[in-house]
Amino acid sequence: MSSVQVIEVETVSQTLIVALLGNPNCGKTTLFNALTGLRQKVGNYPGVTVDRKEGRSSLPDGRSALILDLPGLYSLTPHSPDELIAREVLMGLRKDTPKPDVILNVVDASNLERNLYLTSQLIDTGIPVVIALTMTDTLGKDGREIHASVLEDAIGIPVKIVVASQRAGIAQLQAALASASTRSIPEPAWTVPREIYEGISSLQSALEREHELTSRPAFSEAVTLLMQDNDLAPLEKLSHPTRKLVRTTKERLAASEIDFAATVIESRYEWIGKVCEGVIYDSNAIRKQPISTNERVDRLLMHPVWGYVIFFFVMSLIFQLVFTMGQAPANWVQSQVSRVGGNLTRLMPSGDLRALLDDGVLGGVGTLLSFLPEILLLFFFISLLEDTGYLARAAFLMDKLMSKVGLHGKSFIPLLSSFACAIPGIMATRTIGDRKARLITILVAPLMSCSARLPVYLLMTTSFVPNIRVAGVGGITLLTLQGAVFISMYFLGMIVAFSIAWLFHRTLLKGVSPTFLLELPPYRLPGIRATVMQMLERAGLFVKQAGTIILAASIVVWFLSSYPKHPNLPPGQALELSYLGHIGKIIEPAIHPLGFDWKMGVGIASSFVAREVFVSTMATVYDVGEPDSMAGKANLGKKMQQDTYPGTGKRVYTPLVAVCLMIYYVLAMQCMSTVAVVRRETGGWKWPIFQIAYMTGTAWLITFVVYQIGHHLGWG
Amino acid sequence: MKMLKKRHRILFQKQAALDSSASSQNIAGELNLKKITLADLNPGECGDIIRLEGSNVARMRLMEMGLTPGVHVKVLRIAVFSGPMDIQIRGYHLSLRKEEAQTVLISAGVQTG
Repeated sequence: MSSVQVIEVETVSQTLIVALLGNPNCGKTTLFNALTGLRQKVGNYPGVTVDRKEGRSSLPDGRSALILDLPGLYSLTPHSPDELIAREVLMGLRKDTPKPDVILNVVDASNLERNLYLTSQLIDTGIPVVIALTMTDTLGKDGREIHASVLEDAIGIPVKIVVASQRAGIAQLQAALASASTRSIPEPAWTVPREIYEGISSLQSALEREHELTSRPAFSEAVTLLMQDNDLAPLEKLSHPTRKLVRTTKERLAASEIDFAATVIESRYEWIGKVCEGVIYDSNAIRKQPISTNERVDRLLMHPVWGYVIFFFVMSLIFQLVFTMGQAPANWVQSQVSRVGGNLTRLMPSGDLRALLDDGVLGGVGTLLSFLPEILLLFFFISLLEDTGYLARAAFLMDKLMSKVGLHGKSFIPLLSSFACAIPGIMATRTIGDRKARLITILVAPLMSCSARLPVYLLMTTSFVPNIRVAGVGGITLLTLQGAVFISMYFLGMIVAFSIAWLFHRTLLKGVSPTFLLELPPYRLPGIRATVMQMLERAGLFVKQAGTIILAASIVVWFLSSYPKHPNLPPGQALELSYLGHIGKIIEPAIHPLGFDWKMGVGIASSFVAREVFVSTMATVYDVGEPDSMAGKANLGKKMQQDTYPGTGKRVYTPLVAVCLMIYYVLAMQCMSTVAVVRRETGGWKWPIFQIAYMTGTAWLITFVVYQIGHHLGWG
Repeated sequence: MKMLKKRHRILFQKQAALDSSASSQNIAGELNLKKITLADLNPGECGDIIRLEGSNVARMRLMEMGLTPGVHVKVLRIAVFSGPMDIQIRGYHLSLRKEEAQTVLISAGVQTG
């Protein structure tokens, strides 16, 4: 049955399907890039947040290979969706992915034993395996040498040394892939101990009988089913008798006090021990081992004092670079967008279409593009931290602090990134292995004050908070009240984020056991090509995910603010009579207890595009032209200061109202693109809806308390 | 250095106490001895893994990462305020929390190295 399929694939499609698998940090991405060049397709497996990447590579026999880059894994036993997807692809169970003809297993030569654990599981599947041995150069630097031919003989499958960054060994690897399916398939690598043999073989034959599996996939599946102890693997896909057999076999093993999983793992490592004998020649073994460079760097970077100093310095530097380097291109992009807008005004007759293109589409594109430089830089630095191995050290340093509130050491970088924008932050949570910690990180990340809130804070503080000195030495003012209020907003976001994380950790997600198993990979110089490619990949995802939402929201808000049309009225009054003006008035009773009027309601409603849109909406409301310039902003501030409630003559904006509005902007979920990204990353609507509810609820409550207390104390 | 030696002596004493209590308890037919776990080791100390406790899933994950009985582990450093520890095992570095390290039973034939 299976041999017929293999022949079909070879003669009909002329394409060899290759599954690329390996441990995290083994150099898999670099090899994938070297094999496929730029012929890559990046996406997502539907329904789960597992990256899906494939690319094409030519083989020496004229055929082409489709390389499926599967997630980096330590094991094929399903612990998370990553392993599950990999298993399903290997078993040919996914309708969206062809069944692989060959497995290309990337093995890190400097970490041979643990890497070969996955290899032993891959050999079990009965699919031909070819090993690409990487990091042999690092091994050489440590005075060690690996004998690939000894390893090849010991395992019985082709082993090819590659240095992907220099494209060395790629041709030999491609040749090995081309001829792999003609080789005989080696027996399972490890020796099945007698006490578990019976259990495996009876389940194996049941799988062959009931599920039409050939003997090797059935063997691999039987071992996995008996090993796993969670509900991740799709047991419901099994027939009733097989499911029953799995249960009774497990019960029988437990009754005779056999730890099946431990027995299998130990047997695999026993095989690994035998295979590794004589493979690595260590010239250091005889003399006393010197302290490696890696250890020296670790002693500094993970030092209880200097480690934190350096960490703080690195993070400050990155943020300084993100904000300063991002500024110039953002301004340039914005000027280009307004130039296009200017051309549009000249070339097109005025009318609905021009207004739609200019205010709706170009406005949205402008907002999106003004974020892009910062986000690209952020992605670049995150990739860089990841590829050099520093990200794992940062997680090690920060874990104790983060674990107090149920987060993970790796939550720190995503949360920090969220100060620029929550979207790259949320996308970066994929590096967090623990599902609970990842979910909590996603839920609280938007509470960090992102750069889109900055214009709102600036407008409010400079216009309504008196610029008086609160701290200073002699003639030098260190902190003004404006500065203090401004900084408080950042701290407010952080404090609420940590409190909420702690609350969720203790209530909502209680009982899910946290894990922190983190490899600290050796430091490596990053491949700039790989880093840039990863940055572009993530930026592409951002544009696709957030871009479409920003564009759509921009068009919707434009429509709501322009219709029904009142061409003869000044823009401010026209806006009041528009749908958006109506929305502002409808929500006014809900926001009145917070000290807000309908105009702020309009601003809040328009902020769904991005929070910074508040400023330009206010400029329209108050009939102030360009709010982007400093003069424009001051002008807008003056108009807002003078605004009074009709009838009572009381001022609409007091310092208290301004502070309350800022608090609301710190805490409320207003960003549609963040909602879209959370939906994608959590695989459904449940969590984004929960997030909107809890954030907006918290925002309303805290603003309400602050305003009412302030109001009764007479600050209003 | 003196500090380290002192620690070793303590650990040897712990081990000796463990051995003697083990034999006495074997006579009593009851096993309730104080065990040395990976979490008891200080930076620079090492030992061999005896076995792993903890839930099935947690144990399986640790073992798959190479923490199998008989394997030599060395503690390189521990993050401040009893944060995670950095251990060397099977030629690579792994970081795990104290709670996880407590499930790894160690025979503390301690030496520096």
